[in-house]
Amino acid sequence: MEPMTELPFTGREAARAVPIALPALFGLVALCLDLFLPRGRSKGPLAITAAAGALITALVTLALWRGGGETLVIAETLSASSFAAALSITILLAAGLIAFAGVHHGQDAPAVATQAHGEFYALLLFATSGMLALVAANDLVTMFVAVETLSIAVYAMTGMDRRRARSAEGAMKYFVLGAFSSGFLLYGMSLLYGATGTMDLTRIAALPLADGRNANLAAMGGMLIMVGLLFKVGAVPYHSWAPDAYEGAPAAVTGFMSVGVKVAAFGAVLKVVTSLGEAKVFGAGPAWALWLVAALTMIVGNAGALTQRNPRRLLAYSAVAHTGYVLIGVLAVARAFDPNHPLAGAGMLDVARDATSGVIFYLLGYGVANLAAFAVLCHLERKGEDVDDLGDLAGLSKKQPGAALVMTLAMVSLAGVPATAGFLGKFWVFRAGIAAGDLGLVILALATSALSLYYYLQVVVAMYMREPGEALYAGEPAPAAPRSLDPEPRRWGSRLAYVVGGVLIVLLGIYPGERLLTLVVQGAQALLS
Amino acid sequence: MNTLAGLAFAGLAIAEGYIPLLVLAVFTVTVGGGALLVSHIMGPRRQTQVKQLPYECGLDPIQPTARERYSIHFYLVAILFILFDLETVFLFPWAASFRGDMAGPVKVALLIEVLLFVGVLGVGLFYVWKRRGLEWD
Repeated sequence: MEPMTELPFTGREAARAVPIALPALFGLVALCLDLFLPRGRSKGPLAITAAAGALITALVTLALWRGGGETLVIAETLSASSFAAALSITILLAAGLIAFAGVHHGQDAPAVATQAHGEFYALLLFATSGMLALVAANDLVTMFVAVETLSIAVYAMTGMDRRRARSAEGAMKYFVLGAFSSGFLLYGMSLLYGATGTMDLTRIAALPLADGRNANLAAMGGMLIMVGLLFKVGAVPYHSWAPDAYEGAPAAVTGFMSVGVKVAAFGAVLKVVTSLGEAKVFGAGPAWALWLVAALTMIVGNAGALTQRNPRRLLAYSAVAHTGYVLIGVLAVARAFDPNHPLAGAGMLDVARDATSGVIFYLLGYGVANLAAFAVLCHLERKGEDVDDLGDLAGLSKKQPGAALVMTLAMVSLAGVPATAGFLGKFWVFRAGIAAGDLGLVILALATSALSLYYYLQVVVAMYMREPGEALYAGEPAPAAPRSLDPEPRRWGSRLAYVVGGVLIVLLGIYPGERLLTLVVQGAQALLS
Repeated sequence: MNTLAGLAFAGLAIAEGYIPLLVLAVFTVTVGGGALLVSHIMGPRRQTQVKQLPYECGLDPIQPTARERYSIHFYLVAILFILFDLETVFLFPWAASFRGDMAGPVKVALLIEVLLFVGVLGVGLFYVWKRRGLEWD
């Protein structure tokens, strides 16, 4: 064997992978720190460690991944580009805010059912590490390892309240179905590898696969990969785990997985769609399937949310619905590579770029609103019990006007009311959808958005138009023992999280800022150069 | 283009390369099954108490039923064993290639990599130790 004279990558390249390693490092620190904290006491130091880790990682990510130059590093397994940087911001924001929001979990719980586990912070940061690897992955194996890294941590977090039946049930369902979807992902990857002979997504993109048996095999592989990834984002028909997992997990965990997992998986979806699109593998057929999935996701998500009384279940269906809206943007990207598309031409690349920018911004707006809503739910946890009924929110505006205001902002932002982050994101994605020729789908999205106002405003009605202890609907008996909604002055972490979330919703909706928008647009250009 | 026909064509074309594998499978099943069949027909059958036991090595099976509750510790110990066992499985090929002829900087980089790997698992061991996962009670 030839003596190995040089490494497959340079130290400078390895340094660019630091943003992925950093959260894991902070996770190990949090894990060890927890061993020296007295059991059953506040996990404040851990939350601060985790949030500091997220903040430092965000700064390092922006410094290392933004801008031009060679982005493919470590034997082309990672694409340390502006695209990854733009998506990482949302992921790290989720990790930072949830670290604070979840710090009071189980604090005043009487039984052992709901314990505050210090491992939560370690798992949070390990999952974050996997998510950053996923948005930067440029190689099928890296992508799979990243998906598993984030998934396994999130499965464990879902079952964190292990003595609570709901939590264990949610974790079990999520795990079993998630393992099944990983099988699809892996099978698709092996087919794609069989067809192309490479694991490298940029090399796959450069292959001439327009015709022949390999193109069909690659298309099948690509579709199976999409199934695996669409499961993670909760698209219909792969959404059935979402309501149970979201309901069973503690509110902080639900908030994290509804944002982090979704953003990371959409990063991978965009990557796969563009690579296979450039390789001429994804043509009209897969686009048609994507159209159907987007339409079904919007309909089922919004229809399912209409009848929900549990806020976490409601937000689970809402998360499914938002996946549908984002898929309009993904579909617009896929359309750009369809040679038979009526609008095919040079202009379509601009449409695809615009759609990608829209998706990145949408995910940020959706993430901020969801994080704010879940931070309020964390804030309202009493004796280890989360709010399980919308009626329990009755009269929140009287008891805690600040929390009610942030919840309202989150709901109107999720519904897409102007002057919020959600509106700008929807506008951006829908405009790209129309430009790509999917007017019908956008009309469906607008109709289902209008429908969603009903269930989002139901939360607002409970908080503002009902007295504390009053029944949510006329004719319904008032709750025998209404939950306490009195302010808890010691809940500094969740208060901080929801205040930051509320400010960001308004800020992103009115003035997102030149630098953020530049990053979003650069991200799209990095993906579709 | 007719996608379905294309897929069928692709499937057939791939199958061509797998014919030797099919032959091997048929051969294996014939020889293996044949040996079993012949010994089943021609072999002497003298059953004794000991021969009827599930484990001929002499270990008594759990009586009267195996559907009992076991301590969760068995599970924990097994998982931890697999974890650190796999660590050594990864270390062997590393050690074998580390002995090879290679440039100095490469050697240093490989050493750093394995130290990172062992370090992460070391933190895990420390965590398990402090959490008293290695104690039976």
